[in-house]
Formats: sequence, structure tokens, C-alpha cells
Amino acid sequence: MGLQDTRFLVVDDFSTMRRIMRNLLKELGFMNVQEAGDGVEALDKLRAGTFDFVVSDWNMPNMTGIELLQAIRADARLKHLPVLMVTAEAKRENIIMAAQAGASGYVVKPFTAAKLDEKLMKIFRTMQE
Amino acid sequence: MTANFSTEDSEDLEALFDSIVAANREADSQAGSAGAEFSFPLLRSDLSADREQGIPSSQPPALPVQSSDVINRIGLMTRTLHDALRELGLNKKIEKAASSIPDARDRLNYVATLTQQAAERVLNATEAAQPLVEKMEVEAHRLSGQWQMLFEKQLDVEQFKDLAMQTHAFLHDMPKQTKATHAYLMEIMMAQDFQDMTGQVIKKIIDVTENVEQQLLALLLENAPAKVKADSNPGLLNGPAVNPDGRRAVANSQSRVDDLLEDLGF
Repeated sequence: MGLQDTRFLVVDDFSTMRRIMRNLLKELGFMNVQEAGDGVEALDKLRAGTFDFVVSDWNMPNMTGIELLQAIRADARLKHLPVLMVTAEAKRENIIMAAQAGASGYVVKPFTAAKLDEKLMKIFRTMQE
Repeated sequence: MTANFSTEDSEDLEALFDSIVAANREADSQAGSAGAEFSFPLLRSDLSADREQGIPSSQPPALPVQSSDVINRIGLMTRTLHDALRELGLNKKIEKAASSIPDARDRLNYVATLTQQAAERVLNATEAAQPLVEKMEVEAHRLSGQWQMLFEKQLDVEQFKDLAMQTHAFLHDMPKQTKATHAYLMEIMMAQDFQDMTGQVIKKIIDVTENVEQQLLALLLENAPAKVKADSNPGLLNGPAVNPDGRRAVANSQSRVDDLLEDLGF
């Protein structure tokens, strides 16, 4: 499977951000993108379908991004999934918490397409090692 | 009354209360002799209460004041004081709620700034992309017209060669132009990322607004006539109007709030 076939799940409670992320991923050559509005919906979709990569917001209703990350890492079938946190939470303790919970990468909003590309490529490289 | 009073935390008000009690005792001891004059400049509202009772407080009563009148007046004054104290106590809670307003104002300024920046980014990108698109359109029209002339056999060999060169140059340049246009479109898309952050800020401001509304309602309810209070108790409140931590009334839906305000005559 080529890198471009990576199946993404974009998790954000704001539809605008999901669309922006979908368009950015398309721009970077990733066409296979699905969306979820919060952690609960994301977990349902992850358990029901097949995904290769999760891009998640932090601050969401019902289930936050960090709770989703913890749930993914606690699930035997999902725990291998790379999770990139894309969030406005730029505080030191947030970043430490995400790292300890097993996030694969952390992008602070607002961000550029180049920044997203850089983080994605870094995660892909780590996965191949 | 004393128990309620003791829950107020203002020492100034306690001192005021003590001074009035002391003045009352003095007046009481003089009652029946020369006629007592009550003068409490700090409590103007007790004067209006006296007027309602038909007792002119600006001058001594013509007849010696009976002890029952004195007790009545003390009662009225205490009531006035209690109401004033209670209002002051709630004012503090209102102040606390209102102190969150400057923060909300900053947040709204942040929203205004972000949306303005986004609007400018979008307009800049649009204005930059328009000439590129227009230039492509004009050039395509011109070349298309030349080709039409060729098909109508109006061009000689040299002109045809020239047209072929120009067309090739145009096609060669095209991807560069579309790429630049595409970049401006991406810029317009990325400018929309303000919506996520402003959305979160606006949610917080809605919380602040709701809190202020709750505090104002609590104040209204505390000062409402007993009947309205009793009517609103079963559905609207779980016990007292202000919950134990004194921060939030428990009126919980817009229609109930509307009903309450209507009951209170607003």
C-alpha cells in the first residue's frame, strides 16, 4: 500500500476545521479521508472501519481528543494507530499530557499546510523504522 | 432578624446596625416624655417607610409616642436595614459575575481581531488571484481569435509560425499561473481556521452571559414579594433561590426564567 492510500480519520467538533483538514490532506495527496465530530463518533468509526491514521482536535464535547487517544491506546485492535493531535491547546502541560498518553505528533493551531506535511512525514518515517 | 444579619459579612453595615439600635434605645427611654425624634440620616428609605405609615418623621409627633408605635417603627427600620443588607450582599455576587465581563470583552475583541484578519487574508488573496485569472482569459481569447483567422486562411506562413510559438508559450506558462491561483485559493481556505478558535471563545462568552443572568435573577428573586417567591419555589427552585455556595440560582430553563420575570412584573 502506497503512502497516498493512507486512510485518514479527521476528528474535530467544528465542521469548518474538518473541511480545512480534508482539503489540506487532499493538497498533500491524501484522498482517503473520513470525518468524525467528537471522540465518541471517532471511536465508533475506528472500531467499525479500517483506518491507518487519526488526526484529532483536543477540545471537543462528549469525548475529548486526549480521551480518544487514551481509548485508542487502550484498545488492542487500535493501539498501533498513529494519532496526530491538531489543537489550539498550546500549554506545556497539554503537550506533556498528549506525549505521555501516546500521541504520535502535535500540531498547534493555527498551522500551515507545510507544517502539517512536515509532521505527517515525520510520523510516517517513524512508522517505517 | 439577628440571625440573618449575622450572615452578612460587612463590618460597616454591622456598625451601622449597632448605631441605630443604640439610637433606638435612647429614643425609647425618652418616649412618653418630650416625644421622640428619630433621625437616621444613613437610612433614607426608613423615612419613606414612615411617610407610608403617615408618620411625619421630619418633625416630632405632636403627641407623646406610645411604646407600641416605637416598636412598630423599630420593626420597620430593621426591615429596611435587613433589605438593604441583603441587597448589598447580593450586589457582591453580582459584582463577581460582572467582573467576568471585562474578560468576556477581551475575548470578544479577540474574536473581532481574528475575524478581521481572516477577512483581510481572504480579500488580499482574492485581489491577488483576480489579475492572474483575467490575464489568462484575455490571452486565451486573443490566441483563440488568431487561430480562428488561421482557419479562415487569413494568416500567412510567418504569422502561423508566430502564432504557434505564442500558443506554446501560453500553454507552457499556464501551469505556473494556475498553481499561483491555486495557492491563493488555499490561502482563502486556510483563512477560515479562525472559525474554530472564535467558536470556542464565543461558547465561553455565552457561559459568562448565562452566569450574569443567573445572578440577576437571584437578586430579583431575593427581593421579590413573598407570594411570587412561594409561587416560583416548587417548579423553579430546589430550595432557596441561591444554592449553598451562593453562586448560582437554579432557575434552569428559558421559559421558567420568562415566567419568573413576568411574575415579578418585568
